Parts: sequence; C-alpha cells; structure tokens
Amino acid sequence: MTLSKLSAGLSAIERLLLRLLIAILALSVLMNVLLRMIGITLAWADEVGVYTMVLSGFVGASLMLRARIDPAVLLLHEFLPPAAVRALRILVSALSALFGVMLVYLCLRWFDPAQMLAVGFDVNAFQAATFNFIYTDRTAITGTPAYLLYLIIPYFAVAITIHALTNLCEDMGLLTRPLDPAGLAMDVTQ
Amino acid sequence: MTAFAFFFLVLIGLPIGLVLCASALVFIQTSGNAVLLDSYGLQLFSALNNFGLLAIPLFILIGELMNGTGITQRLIRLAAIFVGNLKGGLAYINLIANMMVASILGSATAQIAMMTQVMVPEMEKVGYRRDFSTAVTAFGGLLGPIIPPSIVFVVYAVLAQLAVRDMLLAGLLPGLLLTGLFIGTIALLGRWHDYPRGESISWSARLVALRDALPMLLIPAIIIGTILGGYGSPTEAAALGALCATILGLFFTKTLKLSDFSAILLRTGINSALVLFLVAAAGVFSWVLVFGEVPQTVAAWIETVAKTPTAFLLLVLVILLLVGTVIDGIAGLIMVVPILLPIATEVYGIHPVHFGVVVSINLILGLLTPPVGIGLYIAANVAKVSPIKVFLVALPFFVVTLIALVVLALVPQISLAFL
Repeated sequence: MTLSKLSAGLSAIERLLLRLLIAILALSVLMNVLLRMIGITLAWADEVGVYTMVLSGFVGASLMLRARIDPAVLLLHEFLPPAAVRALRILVSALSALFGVMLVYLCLRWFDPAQMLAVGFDVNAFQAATFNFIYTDRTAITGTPAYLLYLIIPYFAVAITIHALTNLCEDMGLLTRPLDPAGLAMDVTQ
Repeated sequence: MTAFAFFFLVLIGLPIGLVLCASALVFIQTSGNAVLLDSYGLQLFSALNNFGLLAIPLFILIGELMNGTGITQRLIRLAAIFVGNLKGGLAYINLIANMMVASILGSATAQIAMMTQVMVPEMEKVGYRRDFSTAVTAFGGLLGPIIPPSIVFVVYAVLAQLAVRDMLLAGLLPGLLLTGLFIGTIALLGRWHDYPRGESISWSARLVALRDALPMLLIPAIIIGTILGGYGSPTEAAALGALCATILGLFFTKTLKLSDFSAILLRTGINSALVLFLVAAAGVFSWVLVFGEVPQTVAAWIETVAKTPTAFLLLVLVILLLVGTVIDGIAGLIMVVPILLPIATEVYGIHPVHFGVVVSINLILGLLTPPVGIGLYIAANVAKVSPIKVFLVALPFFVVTLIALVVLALVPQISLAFL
C-alpha cells in the first residue's frame, strides 16, 4: 500500500517535472535562435537546453518503466500461455528492480559519500584520496557544479527501484494495478 | 556470458534500454574490469550530453503540436489535386500525403497511426479492400523516418558522431526514390486489380485545398530550408519548426488551445525519453563493447565471409532483415551500430553516412515485418484487420523496399548527393 502510494507520488512529481523540463528546453533553444537573428548569441541557452534534455530523458524513462511502455521484445509474451506470461512479467519486474538497486550501489561508488564524510567534506582531500573529480567538475559555459546535474542518476536509480518493485507486487497479485499507473493518459508512439 | 545474458534478457522481454545497461554490467563483472563500475553512472549521463540530440524532443514536439490540427486531412486534399483522378487515385493520394506528412513528422509509428485513422476508411468507402488500404498506408508511413526530419537519422548521427545535418539531408533522395518505387508499384497493381479511378476535382475545390494546406508546408520548408541554406543547425531548425507549428495551430487552424500545452509537453517528454534512454543505454553498451574488443571479433568473422564492401553491405542487409523481424527501428539501430559501424568504416572504407542510410532504412523496414513489427501492429490495430493479412497484401511493397535497399547499398551517391 505504502509502496504504491510512493510510486504514485513519484509519478506525479515526474509528470510535473517532465512538462517543466520540456518547456524550458524548447524555450531556451528557441530564444537563442530568435535572438541570433538580431545578432545576440546566448551560449548559456544551448547548455540549458542540453542539460534539461538529459534530465528529461531519465525522468521520462522512470515514468515509462512504471507505465510499462518502454520498447521491449515481447515475442514470448504473445505466444506463451497466460501463466507463463505472468511468470515472465514477474521476472522482468524483479530484474528491473535488481538493476535499480545495482545502480544505487554504483552511484554510491561514484559519489562516494563515505569518503567525503571521512575527509570532512574537504573536496581537495577527497580528490587526492580517490582521483574522483565529481565534486570539482563544472559545466563548460555556465560553470554549474556538474555533480548537481549528475544527481539525476541516483534519483533515477531510486525511482526505478520503487516503480519496478510496485510493478512486481502488482504482478504477484499483492497490489491491484491501476488502469493508468503512471497517470499518462496517452498513447505513446516511438 | 555477456552474449548469453544479452539474448536471455531480450527474450524474456526486459525493456531494451535495461537490457543494454544490464549486459554492460555483466560484461564488466565477468571481464574483471571492475574499475569501470566507478564511471558507469557518468557514462550513462554523458551519452545524452550532446547538442545534436536536442533535435529529437523538438521534432517530437512539432508532431504533437500538429496532431490535432487536421493536418492529415488538409495534406490529403492537397495530394488529391495532383493525383486524385488517376486510376488508383486514392492509393496515390495516400502515398503523396504520406510523403508530405513525412516532411513534418519524424517518426514512422506516429505517422502510421495518424494516416491509418484517416486513409483506410476513405479508401474502403470507394471500394478498396481494407487490408490493401492498410498495407499502402503502413508502407507510406515508412517514409516518415526517411524524409527529413527523421528521429532515426538523428540518433544514428549521434551514435556515429556525424553532423546531424549531413544525415538528415542524406535521407532526401532515398525518400524520394522509395516514394517513386511505391508509386510505380501502385500503378502496376492498379492495372492488375482495376483499382477505382478517383473523382475529378473542380478548380474552386483545388484552390480551397491549396489555401488550407500550403501554410502547413511552411514547417518542412522552414526545417529543410534552414538546414540546407546553412542558416542554423537541425536543432535550431526544429525549434523554428515548433514555433511555426504553434503559430499555425493557434492562429491558422485555431485547433490548438493554450490548455492543450500541458498534455502536449507531457507526451513530448515521454516520447522523447523513449528514444533518449535508449541512447543513454547504448552509450554504456558501446563503451564496454570497446573494452571487450567486440567489433574487432565480429570484424574478424565478417572478413572471412565478405571480401568486398558490396558483399559486406549485402551481408549486413540480410543480417538486419533477420534482426528487424524481432527488434526494429531505433532499438535495433542502437544495438547494431556500435558493432557494425567501426567494421564498415575501418575495414571496408564505407562512408558512415552511406552506411547509416542503408542500415537505418533496413531497420525501419523491420517496423513492418512480423512477428515483431510495431508499425504493422499499429496499422492493423487501428484498421481492425489481421496484421499477417496486411503483411501478405503488402508483399509487393516489401519487395520494392528491398530493391530500393540494394540500390542504395550499391549506389552511395544517392545518399551522399548533398554532402
């Protein structure tokens, strides 16, 4: 019950975020093109466009996993009997959740919060100890600390774990799957 | 072990993006390159950090903005001016309208869904069989990702590290070649099956059709004109196209309301993420392929079978036709390009743009081949007819597409004309 509420809450935030990111993306590129016509170039606008696209890719992918609309080869699902298809779905949801957990672990290795804590949040000491430059990388034009943008990967890892576990519980009959689990109310075409 | 994991995960129906990500993890674990784990997340993020990819959400946004504007009906009426009163008139109209819609939309499945809804009932009304009408519409939809703008070509350009502009323009002549071959096929079938002749259209109706449809063609004119004229990148052209679509929807067709934008932005985000996550996953996958020297291993095998570039391309056509029956479109492209492209360019000296056109069209054809063909199922589902029946009726178009593919493989100039 709590899991499905958590997943529904995340989906609602992701839908809102996705709309916002696509709007910023389109407006930033358009603004740059139009201003260039009168001789003004906004280098930061392209950077904003690219990074909002990157963020939207992962936010959208998380929603897709919940809605089960991401491209997959469903040949066996079409030909096998219903019981076998159910077993396959359970396996797919379990493996998706497992991937999410592994990605959380990989993010912990990447962001290495334990080492950061050990050096008392001294970035230079962290770099010297790990040769990991995550906390000093900056974007090329606006100079935004890159780790703030990289945070989308751990977010994605946690979100797909929650969505995949919710899908798994529904596949196992522990929860009832809503008609439109990601709240997309749309046809999706590749 | 990695190959086994890859095929097992594909077969059980794990989303392709996760298959690529998970296979990369299996490779890292089994090859003893655990140090790669530390940069796994960064690779996933960096694969999308590419200005060229920005064109994808913007092309999708144009399609979403145009979706409710009745654009298909307007372009169908425009096509009728040119070919409406010929024998098999509506079949020609279907193709020409598909070609025009293709210059606005960049996705085959979106186009097939939109066109099937409108064209199949119209064709059935005047006496065409429903399966044939669906087949023509589905194959007409193949033009969507070939004639610019094309999302598939943008993805290929990013994977191959080519200028997106070059790839988009490379699709122009192959798209026209395919349209011409489809028209020839309809002409031959029309004589054989005695297709109904279309009604002749009065001059006043022609003028009304022109007035209604011409503004719609501003979008492809802006996109292609901006790219061809060198006024901006494909991303900027797409942004201008989206602005034009918004203005047309708000003030010309008046079918777009400000309250629609929330749903349009969400659909754009989801449909973009569908492609973008595959690209991110492909970034991780091709990164570990390089460490595993997989392209070199495959190249060593291919070199024993194909001695010349032509033999290689024909071999690739056969392999991708088989691949395309199970994995099609962008997903297929993302899985095979990291392996085959280095072989094509480094071993056989094939131009990457030429290779991209052949491989992309080959995998786009997979959208219409059973047992897994998303485009075929969408068309059949919308028209309420059996997908296998549609495929059998569409066999002449399938053969013609194969002929076009062989021609494109043998004559690189068709793909490289605008370079």
